[in-house]
Amino acid sequence: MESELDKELRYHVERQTEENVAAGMSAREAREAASRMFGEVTQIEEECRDMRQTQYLENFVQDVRYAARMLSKSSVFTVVIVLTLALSIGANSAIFSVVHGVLLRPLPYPQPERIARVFYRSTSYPKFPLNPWDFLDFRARNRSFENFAMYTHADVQLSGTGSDPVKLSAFRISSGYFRVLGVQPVRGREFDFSEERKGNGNVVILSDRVWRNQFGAAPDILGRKVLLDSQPYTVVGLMPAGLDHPGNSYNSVAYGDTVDAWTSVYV
Amino acid sequence: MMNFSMSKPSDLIQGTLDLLILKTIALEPMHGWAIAKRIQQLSKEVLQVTQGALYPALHRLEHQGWVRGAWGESESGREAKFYSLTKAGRVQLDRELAQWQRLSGAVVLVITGSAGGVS
Repeated sequence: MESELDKELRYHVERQTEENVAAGMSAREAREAASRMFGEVTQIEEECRDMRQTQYLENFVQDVRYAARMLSKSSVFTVVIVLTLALSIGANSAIFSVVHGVLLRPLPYPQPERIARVFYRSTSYPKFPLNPWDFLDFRARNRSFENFAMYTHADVQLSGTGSDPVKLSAFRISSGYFRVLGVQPVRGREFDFSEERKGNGNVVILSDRVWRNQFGAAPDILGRKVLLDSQPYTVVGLMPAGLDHPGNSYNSVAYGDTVDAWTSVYV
Repeated sequence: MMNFSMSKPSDLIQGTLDLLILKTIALEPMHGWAIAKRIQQLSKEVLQVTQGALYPALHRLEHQGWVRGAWGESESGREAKFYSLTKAGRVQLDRELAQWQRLSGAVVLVITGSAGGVS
């Protein structure tokens, strides 16, 4: 289309030149007059394209071509720009994944909106873990919540399995802990109230990972005696694979970290 | 003699150039150069249409479907783009003619009427 437009306008200029010559202009003057007119040609072409409303698209295509040409000409500049962009986009998405995981993603439990964590709050410590005695008082007087449970991080050493002793990432939990989260053991049961009393026998719930890695996924794992910190514990439950915990500090594990074993708190 | 150089469509009453072009090519297909010449001659050199006004107007009219451009051989033996009126262009010409007559008539009424009133 553009070359047609060129041709059309050139024809006009040629006719103008001829007329100028016919009117008595010298060949030089006529040529000059014609070239003066050619000066307008670009603008006329642009206006013609404006009239056809294809200008935006053509401008865009030209801009893209121009950008590509300039970028390929100055390759160092291009590399720097591309690297800068890559780094900033990478940093952004990395930060966003953390923000998403920590702040935005809902808790990985069936009804996350109904679960809350309880902290002390004072001027010196805006967020401070509860102590066990207050927990017992709160639980005894609880009328606002369906359930009230506690946990604390307490790693143990597992031995007597025939191989070397291993350190297990473990929680001490009160009865009802998994009920609060809305997660049920795949086998066995979680702790009941009587197991919070010392002397009623040590009990442990194992993770899917420990069950597979340390006990060869033994089908008769429930009821088996295991040694934790050299004390005998009875396995009463087995949790599903991929179980998450309320993460981040305050006696918990980092987000995404697994817990290997759960034992009962003693109160 | 006073000359009206139509370099931009808004220099004279807007739309007048469209009317002039449509009227000029209503008889026979013409290329841009000839259209400008014809307007110049018929107006006894009063109206001079520059190509900066003419070609954008022609392309707009073509885009609106009122004129159609086709390449052909000019009287000087070279290739030129000839513009002819389409059916819709003929309807448009009638409409613009009527509008122009109403407008110019109204202007005449006003200026003659007010001249009489003042004197």
